[in-house]
Amino acid sequence: MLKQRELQCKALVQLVTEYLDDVLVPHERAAFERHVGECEDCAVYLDQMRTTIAALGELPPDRLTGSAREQLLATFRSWVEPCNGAPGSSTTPS
Amino acid sequence: MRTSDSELLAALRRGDELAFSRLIDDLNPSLLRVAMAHVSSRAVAEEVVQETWLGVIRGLDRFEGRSSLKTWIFRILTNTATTRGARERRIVPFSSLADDDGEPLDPDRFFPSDHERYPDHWALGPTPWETPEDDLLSAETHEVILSAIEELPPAQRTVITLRDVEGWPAAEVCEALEISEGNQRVLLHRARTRVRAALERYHDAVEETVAHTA
Repeated sequence: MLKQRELQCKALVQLVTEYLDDVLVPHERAAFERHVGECEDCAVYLDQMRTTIAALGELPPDRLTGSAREQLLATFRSWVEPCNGAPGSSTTPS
Repeated sequence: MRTSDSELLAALRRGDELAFSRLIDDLNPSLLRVAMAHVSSRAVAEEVVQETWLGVIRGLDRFEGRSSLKTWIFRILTNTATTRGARERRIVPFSSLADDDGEPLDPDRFFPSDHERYPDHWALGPTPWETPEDDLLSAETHEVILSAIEELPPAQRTVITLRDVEGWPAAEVCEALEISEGNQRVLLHRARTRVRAALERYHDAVEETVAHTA
């Protein structure tokens, strides 16, 4: 028999990120885990959220094109060199 | 200032090109993704990132180390992107949740709160995904996820990108975007919920196709 005050599925799915970030207070955390232990649908849902997060972490990195990178390095070189050469520059510990 | 930061800063100020190129490689993916949340195209986002690095090079002398170097660089990015976004009339209000629109998870999947037997229980529970783990690495799954991220409201897109794609800790995301931890978590939760739903639609469609052809 269900008690009215228990954590229900609809509320549980809202707490998944807080659960995974470990910011639920102990009694909320216990209620969350009790529910997931007894409710197959919520267990599947939690598992799918974990899978989703893992999949997000597997996306290939988005890199600058080689030429943009080269251009930046050239700018860095040209910006820093005159500073290094300038006498009394405050930015360049010898 | 953190030790690693002050060492890095000293190297950059000395003109250590290797240190600079490492920093670029380290931060560029995140910078690009955050920039994309602010402006309308990849090309403009790349320009914003380039401009950001120029700002970093010019500002190295002035950086006082009150925040971490990473946070400082992201502030420059955000300022640059906001200026560009404003010019494009696409301003993203970061601190607000106002860019949200509706429920990330269809409320009809639950029985109503006044249901006699199953109040607020699943009416249509999730179907387990019958796919091997390495399916997560497939190009198709990547496409599904990328287009789901693309459709997110900008603040959600940025937070999920930094936290889950780039793997930043929550505290760093809050610092870089100047949002509260609670705000950050709400954005992340809504974003993850939507990406899971997109994967669910994809899995359901695949299983339907399999059922039809079997």
